[in-house]
Amino acid sequence: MNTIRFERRATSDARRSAAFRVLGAVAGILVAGLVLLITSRNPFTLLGDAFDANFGSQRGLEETAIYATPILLNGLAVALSLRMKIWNIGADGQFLMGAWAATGVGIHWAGPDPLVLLVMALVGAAAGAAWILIPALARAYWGVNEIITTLLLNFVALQLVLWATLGFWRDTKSAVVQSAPPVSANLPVFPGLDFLHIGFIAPLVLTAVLWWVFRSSTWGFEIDTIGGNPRAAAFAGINVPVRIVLVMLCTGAIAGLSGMIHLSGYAFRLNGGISTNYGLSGFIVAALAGGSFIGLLVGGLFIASMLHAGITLQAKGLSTYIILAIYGAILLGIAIGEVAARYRMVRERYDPATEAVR
Amino acid sequence: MNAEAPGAQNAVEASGITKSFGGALALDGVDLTLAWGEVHALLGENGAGKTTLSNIIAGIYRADAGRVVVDGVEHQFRNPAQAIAAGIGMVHQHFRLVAPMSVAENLHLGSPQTPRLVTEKILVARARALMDELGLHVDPTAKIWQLSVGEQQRVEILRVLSRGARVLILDEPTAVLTAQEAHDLFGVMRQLVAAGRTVVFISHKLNEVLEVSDRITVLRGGRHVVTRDTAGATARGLARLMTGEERELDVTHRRIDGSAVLTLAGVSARNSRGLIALSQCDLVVRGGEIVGVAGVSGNGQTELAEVITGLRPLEGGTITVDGTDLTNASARQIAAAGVGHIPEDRIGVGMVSSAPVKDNAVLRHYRTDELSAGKQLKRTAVVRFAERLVAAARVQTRSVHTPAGQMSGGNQQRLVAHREALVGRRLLIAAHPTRGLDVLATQEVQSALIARRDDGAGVLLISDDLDEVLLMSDRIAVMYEGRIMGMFDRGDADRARIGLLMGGHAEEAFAP
Amino acid sequence: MTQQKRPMTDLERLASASSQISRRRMMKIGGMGAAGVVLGGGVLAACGDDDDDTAGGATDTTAAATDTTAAATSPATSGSALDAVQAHWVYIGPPDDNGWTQTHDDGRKAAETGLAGKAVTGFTPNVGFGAETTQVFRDLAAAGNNLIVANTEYVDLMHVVAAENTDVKFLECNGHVFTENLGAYYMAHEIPAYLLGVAAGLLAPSGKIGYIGAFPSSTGYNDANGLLLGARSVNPEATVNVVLVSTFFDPVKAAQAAEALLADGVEFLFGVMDEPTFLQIAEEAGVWTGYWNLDFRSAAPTKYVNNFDLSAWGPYYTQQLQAVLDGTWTAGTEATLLECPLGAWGDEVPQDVQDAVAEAKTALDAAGGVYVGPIFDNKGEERIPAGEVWTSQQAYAVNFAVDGVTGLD
Repeated sequence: MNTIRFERRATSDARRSAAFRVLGAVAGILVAGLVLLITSRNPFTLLGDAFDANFGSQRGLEETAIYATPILLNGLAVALSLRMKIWNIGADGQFLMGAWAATGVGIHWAGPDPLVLLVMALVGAAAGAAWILIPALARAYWGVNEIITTLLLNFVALQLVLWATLGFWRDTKSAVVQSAPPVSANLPVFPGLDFLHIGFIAPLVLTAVLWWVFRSSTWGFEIDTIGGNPRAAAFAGINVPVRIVLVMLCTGAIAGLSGMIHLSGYAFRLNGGISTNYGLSGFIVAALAGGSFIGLLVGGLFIASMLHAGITLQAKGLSTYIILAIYGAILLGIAIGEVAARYRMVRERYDPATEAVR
Repeated sequence: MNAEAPGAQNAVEASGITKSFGGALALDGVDLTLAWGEVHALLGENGAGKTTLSNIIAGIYRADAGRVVVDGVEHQFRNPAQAIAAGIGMVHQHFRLVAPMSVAENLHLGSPQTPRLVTEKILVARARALMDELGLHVDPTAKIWQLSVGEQQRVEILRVLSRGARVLILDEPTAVLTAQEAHDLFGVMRQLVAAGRTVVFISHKLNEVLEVSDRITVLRGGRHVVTRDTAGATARGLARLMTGEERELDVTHRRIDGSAVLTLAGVSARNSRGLIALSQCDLVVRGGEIVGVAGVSGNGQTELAEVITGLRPLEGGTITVDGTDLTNASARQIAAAGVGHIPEDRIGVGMVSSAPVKDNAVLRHYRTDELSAGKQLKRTAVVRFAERLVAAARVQTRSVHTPAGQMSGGNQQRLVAHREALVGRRLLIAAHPTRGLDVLATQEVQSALIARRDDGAGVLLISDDLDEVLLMSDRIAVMYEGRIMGMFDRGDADRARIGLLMGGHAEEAFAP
Repeated sequence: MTQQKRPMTDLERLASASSQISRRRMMKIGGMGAAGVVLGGGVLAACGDDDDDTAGGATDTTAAATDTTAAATSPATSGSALDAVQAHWVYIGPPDDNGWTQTHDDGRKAAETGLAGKAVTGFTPNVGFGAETTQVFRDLAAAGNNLIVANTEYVDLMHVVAAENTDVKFLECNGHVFTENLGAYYMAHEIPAYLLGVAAGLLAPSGKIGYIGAFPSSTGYNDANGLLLGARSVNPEATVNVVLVSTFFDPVKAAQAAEALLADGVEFLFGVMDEPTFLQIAEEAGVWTGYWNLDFRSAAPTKYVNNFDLSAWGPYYTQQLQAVLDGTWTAGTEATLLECPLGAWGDEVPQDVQDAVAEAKTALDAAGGVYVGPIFDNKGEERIPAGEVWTSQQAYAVNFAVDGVTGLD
């Protein structure tokens, strides 16, 4: 009798882990293909279409990068707090508040574009940070679970945006009923490109900065120490509550900035639908990347390309529900791959008569 | 099931057990036979394979080769649940308790015997009944995190016994118990074997092994050395079997009359539960002396170490280090003043298990000019520092980039102890520094403390091992219920009087 | 599609409820993650029909894309005729939403049938107002469609793509922007609102009318104003009490609004909801009621009055496709406002009421419009002077509530 057993590996290996995640994604795509086959659709055509949508044209690439921008920024925000084992589920709310505050500047002030954009960015980041201030203080000083508080504030932020866009900031000039007027300043498009705004630089620069911070700075060292063992961090003389507040404010600011960038770079006006759950997408990416900033970059681009391909496939007539199922299968595959990388399969022969043999 | 009646066989017969981890052979064809109704001591240095062997018998690891027969029936345990179903339960060195939950809840957690519908009241009543039956008592309503290490250990033992273990494996249980608690535990062990159960007692404390066990198996380097009756065995003989060599600790007491390094005046503080844990403590530690703090664990020693090192705020009083007032200073300021701290819970407080050895090595020094410039860590300097520390502390690790948690407990302890000795230029607080260490490692740490003392630093040695306190200290303070009951010079130290003070019997202790 | 009314299952309700956030739903995957497998899988089974429709449309579209490549590359705006037309509809909701989108999808199907083999149509449902919707329009333009129709006002999300693709024609329902290749259409629904108001005024002795609206838009003003003016024509004491719920589909909010209005004593309850909860509530309360966009007599068998008849989409779409085929299509400079009559009367509506409404229609035609001056808004300001009558085009841009309407500024 042969049995197969999973044994936890003593060490985790980043490269193996990455490979398993890719394998998981492939497995997810295969499962999705099977579902499509069963529902009598041609998965190869659709895969081709999806690939073509993303990589077949300059527009596809640019749009993917546009979607990747908020996903990556929110992912970075979440990943930063995750290094401290703090779960910021509220990136969506901070994103909305960033966009909301930036709208407040952008629709009331038509100054020189660079100046308006700068103020919008500062105000957006500040609003995102403000939105996580209370969860941060509650977590740092009273041990209140930040998962609940940050999550709940998402709903509050959405209501605030709806209130603004349906009420005091409603665009009365055009007939758009659910939206604020367009902001006065837009992020410029990269020279030579058609759609992609320069906001795409932000996640790239921030990834590099965070990568450096956690590789070679005392700041990153201290955050990782708090994440590894807060008692040891306090023992080492790190002021843990203050660090928790500061890092959480930074994550809020990044998510808020992401809202401002999406607003001024792509959406141009605030409405209730401005965050198509970019915060949660970022959260998924950060969780799947397991605290690696490079992994996050790859994962964020991948999810953005999935979303982009999904919209194209939807326009080609594939139902939203099927697209959702495919996403689910792929993400689940990645999640399983991430766990599987930590185990190895051991096959053993077991014969009760002759006892256990190697 | 076996046709033969239970009890007719040996409790456990393990033979030819071999296990390797990633190429390193941890056990090499080890045999172990446990009879019913005996306390069987498993003796050996750290890394001898005691824990690995126990883990295999308890179903946590699977052997690469060999067989385990329990009560005449061969078993291939795939998980601890199967082992416990066969009557084998293990109490681990590192607790597996749910910290935010109460003692009663932990005792019932995951137990098939827990009633489906329960109230806190029922759980507490059931827990009390179990404790009364076994003679081991802990407040069943207390949350685990509020308990001392010793009390948590007791809950662990209770939990395994409550699952119906007939063979109880205790992995270094006394390492975390006070002398009195250990003594009580021995009583429980005798009671269990008298009822026909078997207790495996893993330890490297020779005195305890000699005191409580019926038979002894000595392991060294993953091999079986000897199994013999305890009767007639000597500590020295066993130590030689364990280590294969013999060394003596040099504890020459050269009293240097240094100035006061640490002065505590009227220090009071509360514990994590908000109760007064230290009241009006006065204590002076001078350079070049070791002050031992004797006391039963849970009488304020932990809080004493924490207030001195800035981890716990003072309710009242002052703390002075080298003449500088450091009352309620931050942990970083106090470390900068040259105060090192080997914490009681080295792994839980002193280390980041998931972080690499190098990060743990520089945990206290990363802000020094040697290791960082402004906010930038000097990464090569960090590695060099860590490698130096690892070499000095004789820490065995594959590299300084390996997660610290992957090293054995002894290596982790050595790393923390030597790191803190570096911090403690002026004063080293050592809380139970040899707890859980084997004979050799104990000697190493003790030598390191003595070396610090001889360098002119003050050492505050907190230990519930009275033998250790008496051996090492130049002066001895006795703590009871948060008070310092008495100070003894080395020459005046009298074991009986210290014992009485530890129990709070001040009048009798100072009676003429 | 026949109006086959059956109670929605919970699953369908859930599915359509989330369709309001439409495009976001799509992106929600990020949030839903693995749950998408479960949810997607579950919903998949319930919505099989949709998928087939959609997939069918898509396959046709792709096939037609090759046919029409030559046509698409020729300058379409210059008015050259085509052999076949490829058109695509972008829907705010699902095509079986018991409401707005369903009426448009019926129109789409009618147009495809009407052009007998010369038109290939497809649709994309559940497209919301996220910025990503721009990509949907770009994809559709790139897929070789000659005409892209949106059944709600996507504004910039659509307009930028129209500007980028001058060889593709765009039609925006309820739109207000007109370029060479971007037109708009809607319906003159202040008229059925007025007629329904006449019926309501006759049926409600107190003259108190309740209206569950979505947003403070021209559509909402025309509904409320039409009801009020119609009711006032038979009962000078009539009032319209408006509750805005900021959505076209939310049974919970609609129910709350309905209960509030009923508690306030309204005797006729109307709403612009895409689901019939409020009809059922009115029926149970014994209060007359009416529906916006479909014949929904089944939901209120004894108290149903009437509904707007939106069947004009079919002929309009047919005509637009034909114009594209013929090369005569133009965007126009104002919205095409289709005629919108009332539908079939409810079983219990007295004959004299029906007759009175028929007379009112004649009178209305003679007067030339619903908004006959002098008209004051509900803040007391005169908006239309005496002697002036607004055309439907003027009504299309109305931005005030007339005196007598409360709850709408």
